[in-house]
This record gives sequence, structure tokens and C-alpha cells, in this order.
Amino acid sequence: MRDAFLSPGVAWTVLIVFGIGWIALGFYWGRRAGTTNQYLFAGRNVGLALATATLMATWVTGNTVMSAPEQAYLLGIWGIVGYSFAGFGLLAFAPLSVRIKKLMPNGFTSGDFVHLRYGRWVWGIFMVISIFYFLGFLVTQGMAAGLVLQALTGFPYQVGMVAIVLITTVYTLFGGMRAVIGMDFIQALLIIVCLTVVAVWAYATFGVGEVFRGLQENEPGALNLLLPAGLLFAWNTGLFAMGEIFHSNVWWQRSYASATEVNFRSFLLSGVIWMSVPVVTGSIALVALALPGRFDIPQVNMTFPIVAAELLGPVGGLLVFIVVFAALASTLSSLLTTSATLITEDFYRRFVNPAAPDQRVRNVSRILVAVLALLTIAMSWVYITSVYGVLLLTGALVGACVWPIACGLYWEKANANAAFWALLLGSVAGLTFYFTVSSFAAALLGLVVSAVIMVGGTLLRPQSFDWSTLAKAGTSARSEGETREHVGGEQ
Amino acid sequence: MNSLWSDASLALLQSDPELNVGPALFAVFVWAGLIGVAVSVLIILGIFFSEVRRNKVW
Repeated sequence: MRDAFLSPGVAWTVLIVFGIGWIALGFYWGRRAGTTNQYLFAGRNVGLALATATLMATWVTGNTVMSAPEQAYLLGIWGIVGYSFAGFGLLAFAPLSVRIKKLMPNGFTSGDFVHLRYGRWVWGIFMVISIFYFLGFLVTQGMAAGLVLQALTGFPYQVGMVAIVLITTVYTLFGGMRAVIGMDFIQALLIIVCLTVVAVWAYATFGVGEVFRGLQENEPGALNLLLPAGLLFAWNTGLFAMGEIFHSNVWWQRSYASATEVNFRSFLLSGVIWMSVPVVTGSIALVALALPGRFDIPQVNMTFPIVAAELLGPVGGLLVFIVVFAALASTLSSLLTTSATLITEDFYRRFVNPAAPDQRVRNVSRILVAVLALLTIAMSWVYITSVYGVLLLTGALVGACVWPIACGLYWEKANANAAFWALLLGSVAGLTFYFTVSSFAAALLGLVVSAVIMVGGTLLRPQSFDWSTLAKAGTSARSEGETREHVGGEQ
Repeated sequence: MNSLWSDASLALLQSDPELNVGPALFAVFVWAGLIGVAVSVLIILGIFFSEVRRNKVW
């Protein structure tokens, strides 16, 4: 393993400056988060710029920055194109986001919808999938933080992991969704600018023609558009991303938080912008692939930092640090706040205290953010290489959610029993396929099986549903006298 | 059944069809990504300052 990209002194200085800066900005953005609507939904009237930036920054994870170049290094052009297919999840969710906001203007979570639309049994299985997914996602981001900071700065694994989780938790705790969205705006800009600098520098140094000739001579397979493994990777990435976004409260809560008129455009714009990120990080990796004599890549998952550091020296290492820090912080903060909201609404308010006043809901949500952060640290304490595999395993589960969610939002006759069996058998089929055949196709099979059951079951036994039932979301569990402010009313 | 599926997926992974990207398409691909990501900063900032002027940020 090569030496760290940043000296310890520089690394500590940058980490402390970023930590203080991020927390201070989080306080600044979140200073008006004094009500539940502000704390959990940033006032439910977020404009297009912030809505787009927060969606994009949240979807740029540690994996987008580190694994997309790795896939490009391994699979060439298809590794890049395949990874960028994950952006289709955001594009496909754009119309659903509009529908969600229209049907449930006061909604809190994705669980709200599933419970009201299909009843408690479907809600139960949906919550198991959701919790399994967000825990897996939190742990992979925690581990990525420790691993990447260790490689970039030489920090012990636990130090880097705890530092990023704690900094993120502090600004999320105090500022809630307002701070998360505000910070995401800054982090989105940092990610894009730093990536652009590295990529433009790389191609200005070597030229597109030289990189192309290098690939032709050294790795001609990287230019093959019919690479079978690449095609499978692309399909699975796109479908997995659809499952992740369709079911996860990360995106539902963003839909509730955004102003009605910006929902569609924010998901569309963020999807298009996001798709250019793996193209850029992957293109950087192609430089290393084309010029093997120029770049020594002992670990493929370190392709991006190695190329940046070789080209730009310590400045390159610093740019990578900023990109990775911003990517991890934006994703972790979103996961913490939306997962806490999911538990607050779907367990605490549903079973423990349905008439909880505004202040109590906010406090419970804060406590859960802290608990989830500690859980993330505990579960990430020892690095396990197979954890990313566990996250991929959830592809089978979230793939099975796509059709029950989409049908539930648009099809009045969608059958609740069909939704239950679609979720259950779709998940089982996907998991079976994952373990016995190929992890590449687990999401695809989960999605196809659940689609057949959902559509077939509804056609055989159509049910009627009153759409106005969904308007109760976020309001039915509360007492008449509670103090929550009028939705979207405060500015 | 598992063996059949495994054989089929293995055969697909090991097959060797080719359709290579040419230099022009490669250049378009790389520069589209670079320009796209750079322009996106301007788009987001443009929308942001427009919303600041109209008091529509939050």
C-alpha cells in the first residue's frame, strides 16, 4: 500500500477546519429549525436550487467517488456508463415525487403511504426492508469514511470514521433538514468543482487523443460497447437504484420538503447532473488505464486519489479529500435525519405516543439521530470487506418495492394482498438468485417477480381505493389540540 | 435448474462480442461529461441567485 496522500499536519488542519466550518454552517442554516415542519421538512417549501443540490449531493455517495473509477478501471466505458445508470432512479422518481406531494401534502414518511394505502401487513414487510436497507447504507458510508481517510491521510481507520460521523451528526442534530439541505448545497458545489478541476487537468495534460490511443494499445476491451459483464452491471445498477430511490424515505422526505412546483424539475435536473459525475470520475480512471507506465495502481479502489495525487501533488490529495468528505457527509446526514424521521413517525407516533406534541416529536427525532449515529459507529468499528456485498444484497429487496410503490401511487385498483406477496416473493426470488446465480441480477429478478404478482394479482382481484385517504398522512395520529404549525405556512 | 442458469450466465459473461468506440465518439463522451459537470455548477448557481432575488430559496 502506498503512503498517505496528505501529510498528517495538513490532514489534521483540513479536518479541523472542515469540522468547525461544517458545524458552524449547519448551525447557521438550521437556526430557524424551531418547529417540526422546519426541523424535519425545512418548511416544506424548498426552492429548485437547494432541492436539486440536496438530491444530487445525497446521491453522490462515497461509492460514486471511489467505486465509479474502480468500475471504469475494470470494465472500461461500460463501467462508466453502467454506473451512471444509477441516475435513472432520480429521473424515474420525478413524476412520483409530484404525485406524492399532491396526494400527501402533510406526509411524513414512505411508511405513512404504505400503511394508509395497503394496511399494516404490507407496512410491516416494507419497514423490515427499509430498516435493513438504511442500516446497510449507513454502515457502508461509515466504513467508507474510515477506509478512505486512512488511505488519504494515514489516520487510523476508526479515527477517520468517527470524525466524519460525529461532524455530520452534530450539524444534523441541531439544524435538522434545514441544515442538511443547506449543507448539501455547499457540498454539491464543492464536489462538482473539485472533480472538474482534476478531470480537466488530467485531460489537458495528456489529451483525449493520447488517452484513446493508450486504451486501444493497452486495454482495447475498455472501449468495447458490447462487453457482456458491463451490460449486466449497467442493468443491475439502474434497477437497483430505482428500488433504492422508490422505497427509501431519503427521497420521500425530500419530496415532502420541496415546494410543489419544483418537485418534478428538481429530480429531473439532479438526475441529469448526477449522471455526469461518474462520467467524470470514470474518465479520470481511464487516464490511468490508458497510461499504465505513468500511473501505478496497486489497489483499484484507489484509482481516483492516485491519479489526482500524481497529477496535482498534495493539491490533488486535498481536492480528493474535499470531494470524499463532502460526498460522505451529505449522504450520512441525509440518511441519519430521514431514518430518524421514519422511526419517529412509523414507530414512536404510531405505537407509543400518537398525540405527541410538536416539541416531543422533534426531541425524539433528535435522540434517534444520535442513537443511529452511535449505532453506525459501533457497526462500522471493525472493517469488513463483505459489507458492500450485504448492501448489494438489499438490491433484491428494494427491487421488489418498485411496483407496489408505483402501482399504489397511480393505480386506484391496486390490490393490497398482491402488494404483500409481491414484496415477499419478489424479495425471496431476488435473494435466491443472488446466492445461487449472480449478484448482478438480484434486483432485476426481485423487480420482475414482484411486477408479475402485483399486476397479475390486481387484474384478478381489483380493489377500490379512496385517494383522499392518503391526505390523512402526517395528521391522523395527532390530537386536535396539538401545536404543530400550519403546513408550509411559515417563512 | 441452478446449474442451467449458472451455465447460461457464465456463457454470456465469457462470450466475446465486440463493438469498439471510435476516437470521435470517445472524445464526445469525455468532453460531454466534463462540460456537463462544469455547466451544472453554473445552472445551480444561476437558479440559486434567481431564487434569492425572488425570495424563493426556502
